[in-house]
Amino acid sequence: MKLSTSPGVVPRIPSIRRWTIASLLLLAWACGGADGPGDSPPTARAPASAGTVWTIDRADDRATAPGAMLAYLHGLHRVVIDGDHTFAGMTRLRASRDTAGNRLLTLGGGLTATLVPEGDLLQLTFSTGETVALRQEEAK
Amino acid sequence: MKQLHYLLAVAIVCSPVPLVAQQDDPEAVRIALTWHRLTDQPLDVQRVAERSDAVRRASNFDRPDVLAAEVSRVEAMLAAANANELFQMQISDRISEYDHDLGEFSITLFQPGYFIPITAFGEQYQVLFANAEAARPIPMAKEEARAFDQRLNAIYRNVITEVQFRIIGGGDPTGGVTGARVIRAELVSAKVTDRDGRLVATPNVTPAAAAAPFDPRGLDVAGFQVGVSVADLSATLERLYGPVERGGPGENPPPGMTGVVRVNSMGCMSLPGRPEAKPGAVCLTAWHDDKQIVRAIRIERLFPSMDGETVRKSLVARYGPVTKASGNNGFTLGWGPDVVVGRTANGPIQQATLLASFGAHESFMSRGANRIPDTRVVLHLVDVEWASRQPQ
Repeated sequence: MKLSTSPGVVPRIPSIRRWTIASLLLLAWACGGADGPGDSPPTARAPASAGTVWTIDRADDRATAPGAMLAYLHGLHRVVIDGDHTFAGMTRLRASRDTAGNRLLTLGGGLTATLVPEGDLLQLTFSTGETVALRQEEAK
Repeated sequence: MKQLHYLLAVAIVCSPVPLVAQQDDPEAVRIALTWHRLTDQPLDVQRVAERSDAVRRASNFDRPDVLAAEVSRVEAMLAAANANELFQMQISDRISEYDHDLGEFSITLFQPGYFIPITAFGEQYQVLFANAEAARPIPMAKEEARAFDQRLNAIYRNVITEVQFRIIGGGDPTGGVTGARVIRAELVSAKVTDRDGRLVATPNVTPAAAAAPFDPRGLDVAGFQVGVSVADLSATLERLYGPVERGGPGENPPPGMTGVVRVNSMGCMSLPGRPEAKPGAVCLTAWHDDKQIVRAIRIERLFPSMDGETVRKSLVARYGPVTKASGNNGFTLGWGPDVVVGRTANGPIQQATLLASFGAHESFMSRGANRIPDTRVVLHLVDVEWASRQPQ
C-alpha cells in the first residue's frame, strides 16, 4: 500500500468528507494492507518517534557477516520495531509468532526470519541458518 | 544433429584465460551464430569477414569483392542459425571428492561458475547449462561411495563428460559466470565415462525451468522502494540514519531527475584527513522528479571482508535469475531492462533496472597496513516504468 500521492492531483473536497476519507485511509494503513503471497510489500514511512530503532550489534564481526548481508538485502540491518510492526526501510513487515512465541517475519522468496530476545539484544535468525544480533540504538 | 568431437577443458570463472586454447572449429562457429541469432546480440559481420582466410589470402585487387562475398556468406549463416539445433561435445572433466555431509560426489562441469570455453571469430564464448544443478551430484551411500572413490582415484578422478545440448539464451542466471559472451544452454542428455569409454555415471538431466519474467513491481533495495514521496523517504531516513541532505541532481543527471536526497554523503569512502569508513557504514542517495517522487535509489553498505560467492548466492536468492553479469575484482549483477542513469559527452550511461555490485573497499589503512580490505555492496534501483516515459 503506497501512501504517497503526487502533489497537485488531489481534488478539493468538503472538510467533513475529508475527515471521513482520512479516517478510512488511516484505518487501511493501520490494518497493514496486502500481505498475501505475490503482493507487493506494503510501503510506509517509519514512525517518527514510536517504537525503537535496532541495528546490527557488531558490524565488524566476520563470523556473522553472512547474516548481516542477508539483513541488509532485506532492510533488516537497521529497523524500527513498533509493537507487531517492523519497518525495514520503508517496507512494513507484520510479525506473526512462531510456535515458541518468537516474532516471525515473512520476507520475499519464501524466506522467514525470527527475532528472539537474548539479554539486551535481539537475535535475528534466517530460515536459511544465517544469524546476526541486533542492538537497540540509543535515542537521538 | 551436428556433433562436436573434440576435447575441451573446463575452465572456472576466475581463470584469467581458458585452460586450453581453442581452435576456431566450424561447429563452435555454429554455436556462436545460434547464440547471436537467438539473443539478438550484434555480430560484427564486417570484422568477421575481414579476418577470414579467404579475405586475408586475397590480393589487394580482389579483396573488396572477396570481402563482400564473405560478408554475404556470414550473414547467410547467421540467418540460417536454428535455435532447435542440438550440439554434442566431449569435455575433459573431473569428479570431486566425496561430500560426507551431502552424501554425494560432484561433476565439476555442472558446478556453479564453471563453463565450456569455445572460440569463434577470434572471440571467447562461454557455454553453461541452465539445468546443470540437477545433473551435478552423483548421490551415493557412504559404503558404496568408498568403492567408487577408489575407482576414481585409480583414474586420477579424470573423466570425459559427454553432453548434448541446445542453446536457449544468454547470460548465467546464477551470475556465477561473467563475461560479454555467455551462452546459456539446456542439457538434453549427459554421460560420464573414463578415458577408456567405461561408464562412470549417468547424470540426472531434467528440463531447464523457464525463468520467470522480470517484474519490477514491489522491488526494494534494503527495504527502500521507488515511487514513494520524498517526504516519506526523508522522514524514514531521518529516523533510521539521522540528518538528510537535499540538493540538486548534479551534473548530467538522468532524464527527468530534478533533485537528490542523501544520507551520510561521503561516509562510505576512506579519504586522507577524514575518519576511516568502517563496516556498518551505510550511504544512500535517492533521485526524485519534479513531483517530489523518488525515481531511483542507490544504497551501499560496508561489511567486513566477505566471500563473493556468499554475496552472489544471497543476491540471487533475493532477486531471482540474473539478467546480466560482469566481473573483475568483484562482480556486478543486473536484473531487468537497461535504463539511462546518467550522461557523458559520449552519450547516455545505461545500466540494468536493478544493479548490485560487490567489491573490496580499499582504504589508505588497508593498503598501508597490509590489512584485508572490507567489502562494499551497492544496490541501485531505478523506476523503470517511469524512466521509460522520459524523453531520452
